[in-house]
Order: sequence, then structure tokens, then C-alpha cells
Amino acid sequence: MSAAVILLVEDNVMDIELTLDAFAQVGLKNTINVARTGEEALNYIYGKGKFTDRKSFPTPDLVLLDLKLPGISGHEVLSELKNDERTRRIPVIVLTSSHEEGDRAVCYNNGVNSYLVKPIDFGEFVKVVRAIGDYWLTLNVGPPKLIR
Amino acid sequence: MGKEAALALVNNAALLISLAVIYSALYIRFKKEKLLLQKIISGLLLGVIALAVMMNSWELSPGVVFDTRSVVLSLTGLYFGFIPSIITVIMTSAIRILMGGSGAAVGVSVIICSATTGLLWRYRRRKVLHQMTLVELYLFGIVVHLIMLFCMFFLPDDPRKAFFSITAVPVMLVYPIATALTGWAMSNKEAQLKGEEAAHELALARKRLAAIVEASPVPIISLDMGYNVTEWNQAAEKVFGWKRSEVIGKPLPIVPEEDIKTHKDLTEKTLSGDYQKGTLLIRERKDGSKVVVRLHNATIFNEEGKPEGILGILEDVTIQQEAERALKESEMRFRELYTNMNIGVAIYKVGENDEVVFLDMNPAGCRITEVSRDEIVGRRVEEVFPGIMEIGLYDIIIQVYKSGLSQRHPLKKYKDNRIAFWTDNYVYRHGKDEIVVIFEDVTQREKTLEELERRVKERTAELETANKELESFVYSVSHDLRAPLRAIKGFAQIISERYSGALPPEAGRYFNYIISAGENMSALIQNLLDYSRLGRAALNIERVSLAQAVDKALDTLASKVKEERGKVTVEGTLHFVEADAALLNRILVNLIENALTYHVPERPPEINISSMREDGYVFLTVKDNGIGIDRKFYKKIFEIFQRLHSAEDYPGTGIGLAIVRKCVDLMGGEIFLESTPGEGSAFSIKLKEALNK
Repeated sequence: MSAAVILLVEDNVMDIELTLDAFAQVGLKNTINVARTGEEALNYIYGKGKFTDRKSFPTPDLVLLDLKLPGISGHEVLSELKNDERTRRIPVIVLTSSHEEGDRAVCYNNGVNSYLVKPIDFGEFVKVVRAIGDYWLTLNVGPPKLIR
Repeated sequence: MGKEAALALVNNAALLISLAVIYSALYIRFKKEKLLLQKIISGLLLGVIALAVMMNSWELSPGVVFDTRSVVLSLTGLYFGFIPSIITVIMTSAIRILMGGSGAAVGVSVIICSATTGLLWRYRRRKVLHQMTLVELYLFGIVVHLIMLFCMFFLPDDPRKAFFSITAVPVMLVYPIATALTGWAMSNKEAQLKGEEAAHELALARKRLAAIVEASPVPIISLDMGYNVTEWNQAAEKVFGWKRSEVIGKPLPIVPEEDIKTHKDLTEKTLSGDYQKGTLLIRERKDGSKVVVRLHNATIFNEEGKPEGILGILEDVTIQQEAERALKESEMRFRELYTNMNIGVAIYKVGENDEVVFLDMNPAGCRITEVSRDEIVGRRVEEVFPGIMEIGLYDIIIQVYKSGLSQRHPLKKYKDNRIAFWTDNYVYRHGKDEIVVIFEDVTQREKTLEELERRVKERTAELETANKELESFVYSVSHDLRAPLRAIKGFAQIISERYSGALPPEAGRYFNYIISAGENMSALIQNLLDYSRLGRAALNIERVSLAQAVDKALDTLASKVKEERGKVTVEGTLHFVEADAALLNRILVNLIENALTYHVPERPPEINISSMREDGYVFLTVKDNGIGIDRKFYKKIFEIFQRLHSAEDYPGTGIGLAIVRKCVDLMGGEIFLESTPGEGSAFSIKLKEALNK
């Protein structure tokens, strides 16, 4: 299996930088594509709009999803993906600042695969990223792909 | 011979009269129960008198004697009755037979005839013997002796001839007179005795009457013709306060000034025969207070039938009058209430076939139901209020009528094509077949309630919206404040770690300040979120072991305890409380953490945790040897963001104790603080004790 492709859905530039930095620090070499809004994320996954070229924008093996997004929210993106036959198998990890009960409930109801709270401390955040790499990209065996 | 016979007869008659007088003088009265004995003694004595006169009889011829035994025996029969007569007859007959001779049989027959005549005369006259006049007695004598003459026809020839020629005339002259005189002497005595007896009876009756008057519980007063008091019994003393000695012989003192004229009229009316039979009058006591009396009176007459005075019986009815007046007043009061109150009252009579008919309705009831009393009385309830079946009130009326148990008919809207109103009914039975329905028009109240309910709903919706807004605000805070913070801290950390060598030393120090400030802010945000989240989470009160809760809190704080070189002791066995485990944990962590933090420099923290039971509550105390809190800050430290020390001396967000207090409040507990600055503090929380399961 070739290195898994990760789709990071995050609107905040600084958070994108920190995440990418953390991945680099941990030594993960996976392709990380970034979608800045919910709409962009859905377009990417379904290969629509500017993401029709599957070579440059391959179907993601893992989605890291922020909840607070401009326009279509992270919850809506998750719901859309998990209600679609073609995309429901893609593992989605919610990566958010919110510890709120309400958010957690909605996400798990919608079938999220994992829910992680971003620590404020960067050192702690690096630990979280390392754990993602260890578990989801190494140990976990992914589903057979439906969308190519 | 005739002269001699007359003299002998007079002699014998004189003996009899003198004996009769002696007998009368010695006459003993016996009590009634010894009447028989008296009769026997009288009989014997009279028998002796008869014997005495017989011993002195005059002999007409051998064996034929004359004496006044006929007089004795006839008077015995007349005055003394049957038993003395029998005794006397037996005694005299026996003697006559012993005396013997040819006249014995006739002698005995004279004895029997005389006694019988007396007895017959007695029973014809009956009780008024003493009223017999001398003439009647003389007539009696003649009758007795005519019978004697008739007996003489049965004498043998010689003595018969001798009697009719010699003795007949003197006998008829002397004996009736002797009878009359002797009888008169006796009847005078009899009359005297009767008189004494009557006087005695009268005295006795008077005594009895006086006792009755005196003992009477009702005042009895009598007046003479001058209207002065002649009788004043004990009850009169008691009721009117005047002593008998104060009023006897004086005008009646109980007539009030203004009634003197009417009293006089009343007295005159009574004397003219128009008696009072229960007339109500007002009279006065000695102390001037008024007495209501019911007067019954009558005129008293003397022996000649002339009015002698007035007797009055005066029943004191003051209390009854007062009670009657109070009752009337009470009745008035309730009637006024019924008429004036704002609540409707309908009175029905339930007849055959459960027919419910209006008896009455008060003005408020008429106003509420827009009817007039006159047009509904006597009509059936369902005619007047056709909607009564629909709201179920009719059934309740019937139920109450049958069971006698009052019922409340819950709030219903009454409606027919004439009126509509909200009403509340109370139904009870009066007597056997009357039903009273008390009802109130609560339409206005219902409208107000509806309006209130609508407003509450509106407000609740508004509040819900506000709450949602607040929630989303908190959500924003948690997310939006954290994101930039993470960036600030993250990049500061990356720079200070990755490029530390390339930076001047103060730049490195400044980056450390940024990181530390970021950490503070992060803690602040976390605590703030915790605090705001407290009120929203559902409470889960259960039986919680304080020992376990303390253990858990100490586990959480293990590294802090170690870091501060603290010593924590748990005193005795801790109790069980009714609490939410999560909130309790928060309280304990915060209190112990504070105790570890606020210690005197160079004096390692010593913490003592204990619990105490009292009246169904448990007091949990966390005591430390820290810096203590001034009394004036006791209240302040529980307020949010309230800090007493600089961040350099003691780090903290100023939210910890606010969270503790909120947790305690949520569980319905209380928190207390005892502290001595420089020596230490003791925080106690009071929670309900959990009972053993």
C-alpha cells in the first residue's frame, strides 16, 4: 500500500502551519492536502471543480476535520460524508478545540471515527499528531476504496 | 201509775244524758290508722252506758222493764256506725236475755230495731251528721220509739195492756226528747271535733303551701289590696336582690320608674279577673340592672269570696331573651352575608324522580347567571341552565343528594346559548332533600391565568433563545479564543526551541514570557468554561462515599502534593453524603489544591480532612496550615475573578472558589470558612447525609 493521502480540512492558516510542522516533526512523510472550507473539502473528496484531477488530488485515505469552518461547517461535512454510500468508509478524525458535549454527541451520532481535542500546548499537540500517525497511518487497516 | 212511770222514765233519761256528757268529755280522738280500735272501744263504752241505764230500769210488770237503751242504741247507730252498734247490740241483748222474763224477746227486738234505725238514718244523712238540728234529732227519736211501740204489740196480753194503758204515753213524751237532747250533746261534740280537724288540716295545708312557695325556684310574690308586698320567697330574693325583710309591707320595689303606670293598670286588670298568663315585662334588680320576666298572676280571695290581694309568679327569662336575641342577630348576620356576598349560592330541592327545582338564589348568583330570582324559583334547574348536564354538575347534585357527602366540582366552563362563564362549584346537602351549590364566577381569573400562562410561555421561549445564544457564545469562546492562543503559544514554542541559538538572550526570555502568559490564559479559559458549564449539566445526586471521593481527588493531585512536599491526613472514617460525584470531586480538588498552593513559604503544607454528622447533615472540613484569609475577605473570595494575591506570589485564576461555591449551591449545600491569617484556614461544606442502604 502506497503512503496514505491525508486531507486536512482547516481554515486557519496558522493552525495549518502548526499541523504541518507537527507532522514534519514527527517524521510522517504522507501527502497532506489542505481544504480551507467545508465546500472545498466536499469538492475535493468528490473530485469536483478544481479537484477533478485525481492524480494531483487523489482520494484521501484519512480526513482530519476541524469543526468550525466558514460556510459549510465541519458537522455538515461529516454528515454528508457519512451519509453517502461512496464516502462513508473514509475514516474521519475530528480535530477541534471544542470539548463541548454537544459537539461530541453530534459527531459520534454522525459516525465519526475519532474525536481529538487540540491541546493548546504545542508539545502536547505534537504528541497527538504522533499518536495519529502511529495508530491511523500505521496500525489501522483502512477500508477498500470506493471512489477512484 | 202514769206519773210514776213518767218519773222513772225521766230519771232513766237523765242518767243517760249525764253519762253521755261524761262520755263526750272523755272522748279520745284516735289517729286514722287506729280507727277500728277506736270503734271497738266506743262500742264497749256505749255498751257500758247502755248497761248502766238497764240496771236502773223501771219494771212495769215482772219480766217487762223499760229504760233508755233504745235511745243509746239508736244514737250509737246514728253517730258511731256499724261496728260499735254490733258490740252494743250484743252486750245489751245478752244482759236482757239474762234478766229474763216475759218481755225478754220483745226487749231484744227493741234493741235490734233501735240500732238498725240509727244505722239507716246515718247512711241516709251521710257525712253531715253534726249539722243535724235539734228538730231533726227529735223527729229521729219519735221514729225510733214509734218502732218500739210497734214492738210492744208482741208482748204477752197482760203486760201489753198494762203498757198501752200506763207506759205508752210517758214513753212517747220522754224518750224522743231524751234522744234529741243526748244526740244534741253528742252532735255538738262531733261538730267541735270536725272543726278542730278542719282547722288542723287548714294549718297543715298552709304550711305545705308556704314550703312550696319558699322552695320554688321561680320568684313568687303576693301583694295586698294596697299593693304592698305580703309574700316574697327565696327565689325572689335571689333574682331581684331584695331581702324579704326589706320589702314586706312596702310597695313593690322592682317596678321601673317608667312602668309604674302600666304596673298599676296591670294590677287593676288582674283584680277585675283578667289574669296575666306569661306576659313579658322588664323589672329592676336592687342594683338597678334589668331583668326580663314572664308574669303569671291571679287574684287571691278571702273566705267571703272578696279579693284580698294578688299573687304573682315571675319567671326570670333574661338569659333566654338574650339567647333569643343573639340567635335572631346571628340569623340576620348570615342573611345579610348571603345577600351581600360576591359568591353565588343556589338552593335546590330534590323531589321525586330526582327532579331538581330552584328554591332560592342569592343576588350574587342571579348577577353571575343573569337571571332574576322570581323567574327561576320553582323551576327545574335544567330548564334555567340547559348546560348543567354537559359540565357534569347535575350528576354531582344527584350524587350529593344520595350520599349526603359534600363535593367540589372542579373548574369548568359553563355555557348555554344565553350565558358563558368559568365556574368553580361546591355542593352540599342541607337537611334531607335540599342541595346548596356555592359557585364563583372565575372567568376574570381564568382570563388572567391564561394571559399569565401565555406570557410565561413567551418569556420561557425568550429565555431559551437567550440561553442558546449564551451557549453558542461559550462555544465561540472555547473555540475562538483557544485557536489564536494555540497559534501564539505554538509559534513561540517553535521559535524558542528551534531558533534559541540565533536569538539574543532577552528575545529568548521574552518568548518564554509569551509562552507563560499563553499558559495562564489557557487555564483561565478552561476554568471559565468549567464554571459556565456547571449550571448546564444535569445533576445526578446519589449516595457518595466521602472517603472514596477524597481518595480520587488526592490521586488527581498526587504530583502537586509531591511537588509542594505536602502532608495530607484523613481523620477517622469519613461519612456518606447525598451528592453529585462529579461536583463533589471538583470541590475537593479545588479545596485541596488551594490548600497546597497557599502555604507559607518554607512551611510545607499540612492538610487535615475530616467529617462530622449533625442532624441529618454531614460537615466535610478541609483544614490547612497555610497563609490564612482575613475575615473581611470571607465573602469576597467566593466571588468570580476575585484574587487576594499577585500572580507572582501565588498563581491562580480567581475562579476556583467560585466554582466550589457554585458546586455546593447546586447540590443544595452550604459552605463555611474559618481562618486565622498566618496560621491556616478551614473550609467546611455541609451536605445531606446519605442513609445506609
